[in-house]
Amino acid sequence: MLIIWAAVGATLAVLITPTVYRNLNQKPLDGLIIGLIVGIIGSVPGLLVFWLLLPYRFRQSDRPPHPLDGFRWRGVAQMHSNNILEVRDIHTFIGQFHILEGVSLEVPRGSITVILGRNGAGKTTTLRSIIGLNNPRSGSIFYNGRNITHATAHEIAASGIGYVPEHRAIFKELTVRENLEIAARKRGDLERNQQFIFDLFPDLQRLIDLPGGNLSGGQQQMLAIARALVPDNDLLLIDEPSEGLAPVIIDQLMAAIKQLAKHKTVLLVEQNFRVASRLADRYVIIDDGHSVMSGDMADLIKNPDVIKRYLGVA
Amino acid sequence: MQNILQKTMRDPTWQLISWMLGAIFIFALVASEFNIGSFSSTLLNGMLRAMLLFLVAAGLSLIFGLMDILNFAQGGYFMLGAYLAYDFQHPDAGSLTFGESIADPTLRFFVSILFAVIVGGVLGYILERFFLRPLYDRPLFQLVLTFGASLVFLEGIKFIWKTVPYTWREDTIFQANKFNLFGTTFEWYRVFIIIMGIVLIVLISLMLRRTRIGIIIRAGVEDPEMVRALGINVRAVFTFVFTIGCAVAAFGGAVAAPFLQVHIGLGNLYLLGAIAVIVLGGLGSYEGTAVASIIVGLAWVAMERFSISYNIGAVWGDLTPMLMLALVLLLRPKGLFGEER
Ligand SMILES: Nc1ncnc2c1ncn2[C@@H]1O[C@H](COP(=O)(O)OP(=O)(O)O)[C@@H](O)[C@H]1O
Ligand SMILES: [Mg+2]
Repeated sequence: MLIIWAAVGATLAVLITPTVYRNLNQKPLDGLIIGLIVGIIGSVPGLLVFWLLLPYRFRQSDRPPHPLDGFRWRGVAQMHSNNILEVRDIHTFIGQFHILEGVSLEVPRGSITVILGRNGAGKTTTLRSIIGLNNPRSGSIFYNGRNITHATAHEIAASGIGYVPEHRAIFKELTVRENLEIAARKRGDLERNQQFIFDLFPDLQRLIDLPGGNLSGGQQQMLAIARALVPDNDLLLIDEPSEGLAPVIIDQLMAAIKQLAKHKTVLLVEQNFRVASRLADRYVIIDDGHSVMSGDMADLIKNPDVIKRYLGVA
Repeated sequence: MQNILQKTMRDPTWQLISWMLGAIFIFALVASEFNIGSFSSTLLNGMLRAMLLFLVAAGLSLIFGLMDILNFAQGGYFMLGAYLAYDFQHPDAGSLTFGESIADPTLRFFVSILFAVIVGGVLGYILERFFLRPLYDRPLFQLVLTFGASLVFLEGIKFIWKTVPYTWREDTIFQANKFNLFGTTFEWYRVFIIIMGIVLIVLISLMLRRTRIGIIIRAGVEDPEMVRALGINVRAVFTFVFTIGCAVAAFGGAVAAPFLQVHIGLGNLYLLGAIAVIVLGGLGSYEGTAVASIIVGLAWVAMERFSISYNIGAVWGDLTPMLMLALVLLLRPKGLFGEER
């Protein structure tokens, strides 16, 4: 409201002053500039009040605690303390297409949770909803107890989620070093974590000054994962890391993911059931935009009917 | 060093560029009727034109690469820069009288450039932040909007400065100092602009290669969505690039005002030239923009010379960028450095 008043005031000042001024000495542009200055000065008080109030009105996610918070959110915001991420019944649209029609999942802290499902089931869209590239239209997503359902992608990522997209979407024009540097959120992020990264993926150290586009498929995938390890993320979303890679490379990647999962929580999308079953502790099955089952991986392995029905593999 | 040189010489793109430059030199020789004075003046003015084109095209190209917006208003910023600088410099002409308070014309010239840059930047910021930003889901609307903005610029300028062209009258030290090249006299100012243009090309390139914001811009040209998912506020980067792009275009207009006729056709002329440049260079490629500016600038001025020498009518000069654009689209649609799109 206040910003509207400020804008209206400024506009009026800008419009009126030149007219007055012109009648005085016939110089419309001088008048316009004076009008602009008057307008800017005139709107400052309004804007000031607006900025002071802003934290309370708009920054829902990290505003200071409000006396009504407990009242409003009790019972809704409370997460199972063991879960780092909770997705509750989200509905996501791409354009006018209703892609997710009710997806719920929980990711226990420290676990590797895998999302399974056929091609086109909505696995990628689920990850994109979490990271904020396709915000859900309804439902809610809680990360570390914070409601991130409608936050922007850069806010969500900055709160500690690393995203490794499908098809190894690294920056091909940037060198390996630049690919890593761009992911740093604070000064010193890369210096602090590069030893960990190079221990996991020794190849990258050797290729550090090569453009990303010159790397092999497996190396690109390693770089995509490494990029998510540069800042201190708690949760990694990894979309189909094994896609299109040779078995030897897949084994290397699996070892690396197992290794990094000692320090991070991982939510993985994986088509390759052999890989998924060996990596993950927990699973969620998504079918046709719905989450249909979830539980311990060990139980799913004993249940070939379910695997055949939803994943089409025996 | 030698290695880089050898690699460059074997690279087909650079070979093509050498051929084009060679052809333009020969054409310029013919155009200046093999008169060395006239030839060197063609080259010098060609480089000058190239730098001005670059100042418009650099913003156009970065904005297009990063945000997929073809900013039709870019020429308007150039033209506005020229008008503002002219008006500020000449208190007795146009609408601005503030310049009076600065007695020394050279100092006043610096202030008028600064003034044009600031106004250009502020207007660029306003256009992106308040008009384009709400429309990022609707690219077609953005295109229409920048086109509308270019019309607003044109009409606004007509309203304030009327349609009579202005010719620079004030002599700053830049205009007063001249030198002689094979019988033709030049103002040092032109050389100064060329050097400054080259310095700017290098500076922007260093910015893109070495700084964090530069890395973010290059990454954003490739995949803005992924940049967001890394925790970077891409919208803020868009605003930054748009603002700088418009300020640089206004700067180009301001430094060009002393030797260009300041008139209402200026915006479209340089916009079309810049579009030819970014298509020839390859959309979204920075080095392509720099190289193509030089090619188009030289060809443009050589054609102007040719049309004078052989009396074929003045339109051919200003048509050159368009002809080159058509030629590129026919022969090499991805441009010199472009990816297939
Ligand atoms: N940009 C888009 N426009 C329209 N439909 C899309 C778009 N992207 C994905 N879809 C549809 O959404 C569904 C889910 O896609 P996705 O999440 O990528 O599936 P998965 O990752 O499980 O293979 C698919 O049916 C796909 O066709
Ligand atoms: Mg997918």
